[in-house]
This record gives sequence, structure tokens and C-alpha cells, in this order.
Amino acid sequence: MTNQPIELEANSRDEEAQPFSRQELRGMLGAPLRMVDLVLGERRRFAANVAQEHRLPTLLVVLTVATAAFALPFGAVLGPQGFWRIAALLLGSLAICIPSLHVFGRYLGIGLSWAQTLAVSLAAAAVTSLFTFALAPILGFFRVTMSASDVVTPQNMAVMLLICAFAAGIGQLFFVALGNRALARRIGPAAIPVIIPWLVLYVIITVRLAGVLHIGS
Amino acid sequence: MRRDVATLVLASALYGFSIGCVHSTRFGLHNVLKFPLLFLITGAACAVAYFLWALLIGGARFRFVDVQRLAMRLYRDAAVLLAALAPANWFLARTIVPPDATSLHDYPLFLGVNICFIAVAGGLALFRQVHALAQYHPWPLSRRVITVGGWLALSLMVGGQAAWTLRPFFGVRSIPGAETRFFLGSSPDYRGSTNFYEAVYNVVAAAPLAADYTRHGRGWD
Repeated sequence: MTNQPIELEANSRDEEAQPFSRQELRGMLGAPLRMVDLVLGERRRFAANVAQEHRLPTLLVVLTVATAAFALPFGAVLGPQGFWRIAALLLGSLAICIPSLHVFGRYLGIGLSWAQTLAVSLAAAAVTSLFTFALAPILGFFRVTMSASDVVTPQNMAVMLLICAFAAGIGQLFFVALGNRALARRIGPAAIPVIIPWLVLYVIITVRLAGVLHIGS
Repeated sequence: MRRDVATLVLASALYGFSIGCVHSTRFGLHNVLKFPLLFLITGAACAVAYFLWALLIGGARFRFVDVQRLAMRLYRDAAVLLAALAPANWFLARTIVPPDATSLHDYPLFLGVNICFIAVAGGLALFRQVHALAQYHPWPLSRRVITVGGWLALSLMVGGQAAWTLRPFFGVRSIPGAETRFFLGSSPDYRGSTNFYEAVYNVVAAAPLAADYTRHGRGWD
């Protein structure tokens, strides 16, 4: 029962984080699993892209594609005909709520442009989407092994797993917005008073949109 | 990694055999297959989630295979600790007063002892991996605890349902082994629960038992 050391590639805190280049970002469209590095593994580089507004249009395209693509398996497990519904839920609720985040943020002193606000919030949606991708096999397992029950159904479990994925996305929003010094300086002290009420609105809209899309029913 | 998986399979098979012997050697032999399957199904279903969880909490650049190795070692350690208890468990299984028509006798005690064994082995394995993570990555303790705790929560969520599907592992000896299916799957138990979460709910908010409850739980109803 020995634990042989595993060499993990850690980010050196001393190094200046370099933003992702256009070639790297375009490469991610061809190799989708590298998007995991963009939104989770290389958080400091991602924050450098946003803070320096470096290649933001390409970054936004990559994040949007990642959000849509990684949500498809969970939607397909929920129901093959409605495979697009989770992607629509993630992008739709963000589209509805992003104006309020940006306008209230600017009003209360957050110094982010439209594109920067969109990149930060899309990173959260992309993480939610990635987690739905990770939880899709678990939902599939539940669907295979659970027969019709009056108390706990696979649909209940799907909703619970979706909540977990959204919690991960919200965690990522805080990690990106507050965890990086350069970005936190631009956002300023208004971050918490803006983000917390906005999250309440985001959750309400997401729940309503899930109802409209017949997710979990 | 292969060695870890082989150790996990052997150790969990040994422990599985010892708990199945509370019913019969037949159930013990079933568990030689079913107990490793329980670990492997849980690990496979959670693999991607383990990886993303470690990235989310750690923010470091892990390789997928590194995370699987760490998570697998959590299982392996728990299985090896349980295997070490297998002789004692087998002895208990063969010497308790078996259930009969009038009472369950020592059977609940055997279940309770095994829940303690699993809790202790799982807790020690968890503690060891939290400690081991420090050798691999300079994270603060809180992040290591959250990472490994998240893996454990995921494993319990999936493992609970996997165990439900693969049951019976123990089996009251008054139920004839030949009449009980190898996997009970989603067949209702004696309270009518058809999945793990419903069973937990029924334990918390216990519904009255049906008059013929002793006839259920063999997988044919």
C-alpha cells in the first residue's frame, strides 16, 4: 500500500501568466478537450486574457462552443430528442441575465467592458457545461438502474446533478472574478454586492427557463 | 495503475467473500465478482467528474491519468484495509446466530460491525490520501480536504446506487440463495423501495410495512 509520487504539473506562482494566443485558442476548437485547460487548468492565463483584453473575440467563440458542445451529452441522456435543451438552458439564461450583470456592474464601479463581463460569465457557464459532461455517465447509470419510483426518479437525480454542475459554475465565477489579482483590481470592491444579487436573478431565470424547456419534468 | 487495480480487485473480492458468507458460501462466491464490480463501476462512472472537481478546486494543471491514479488509490487503500478484516469478518459470519422465523438474532450486529468496518477503512483511506496529496502538490490543507472529500461524496452518490443494483451482498439466511437473483437491480425491497435514494428516504420517513413484506426482496416480485 505504498503511494509512489506522482509528478503533477503545477503552475509556478512566480511566473508571469501569459495569455492564450490566437493559435492556442483556435487549436482548442479542433481539440475540444483542451478547453478544459482554458477554463479550469490554466485559470491564471485565462484571467490574463480577460484582464488584458487579449484575443477576446476568439476567446468568446471558444467559450460559447465549449458551453454548447459539452452540454449535449447530458441533454442526450435526459432524452435523445431534446439533446439541445441543456445547451439552450445554459446559453439562454446567460443571454437573458448578462445585460443586468454588466449594467449594474458598471453603475456600481466595476471596470469591465462588455466583452470582459461576457468572458467571465461564459467561463462559469462553460464550467457548468463541463460538469454536465462529467455527470452525464452518472445520470446514464441512474437511468439504467432506476425503475419508476414514486419518491426518487431519474428526473429528480438529473435535477440534482444539474444543481451540482451549476454550483461548480458559480464557484468558477468567484474563482475567476476574485481569485486573480489583475482581474480583481479591475473589478474592484463592488464585486460581491453585484455578483450575489445577480446570482439570485440568474438562478430564478434559469429555473424558469428550465421549466419552459421541460427539463426535469 | 494496473497494479493498483489488481490489488483493488483482489482485496475487494476477499472482503466481499467474507460478508457473503453470512448467508452462504454461494453468496460469498457471488460477492467475489460483485464487490470488485461495485468499486469499478463507481470509479468508471465518476472518472471525469473526479478530474474536473480536482481542477476546479485545485486550479492546477493535472493530467487525467494522475487524478484517476489518486482516486484509485483511495479505493485501493479502503479495499486493502477491508481485506485485512476479512478473516475476522468471515469468522463472525460463520459463527453468529443466524436469523430464523422468530428473530433476526445476531444478523443486525453483523451488519452494524460491517458498517463500522467500512466507515473506518474509508475514513483512514481518505485521511491517507489527503496527507498523500501534500507530497504531490503544495496545496493548503483545506483544498486537499475539499478535493478528496468531493471525490468521496461523488463516490457515495454513485456507489450507493451501484450497491443497490448489485445487491444482495449480505442476505438474510432465511432467504433461500437458489431463489434469489444474482443482481436484484431495481426490484423492490421489503419496503417497496426501488432505488438507493428511495430506500434512504424510506429509512428516514419509514412507511408502514406491508402485511406480506417477508415475501419481497428476492427479485421475482
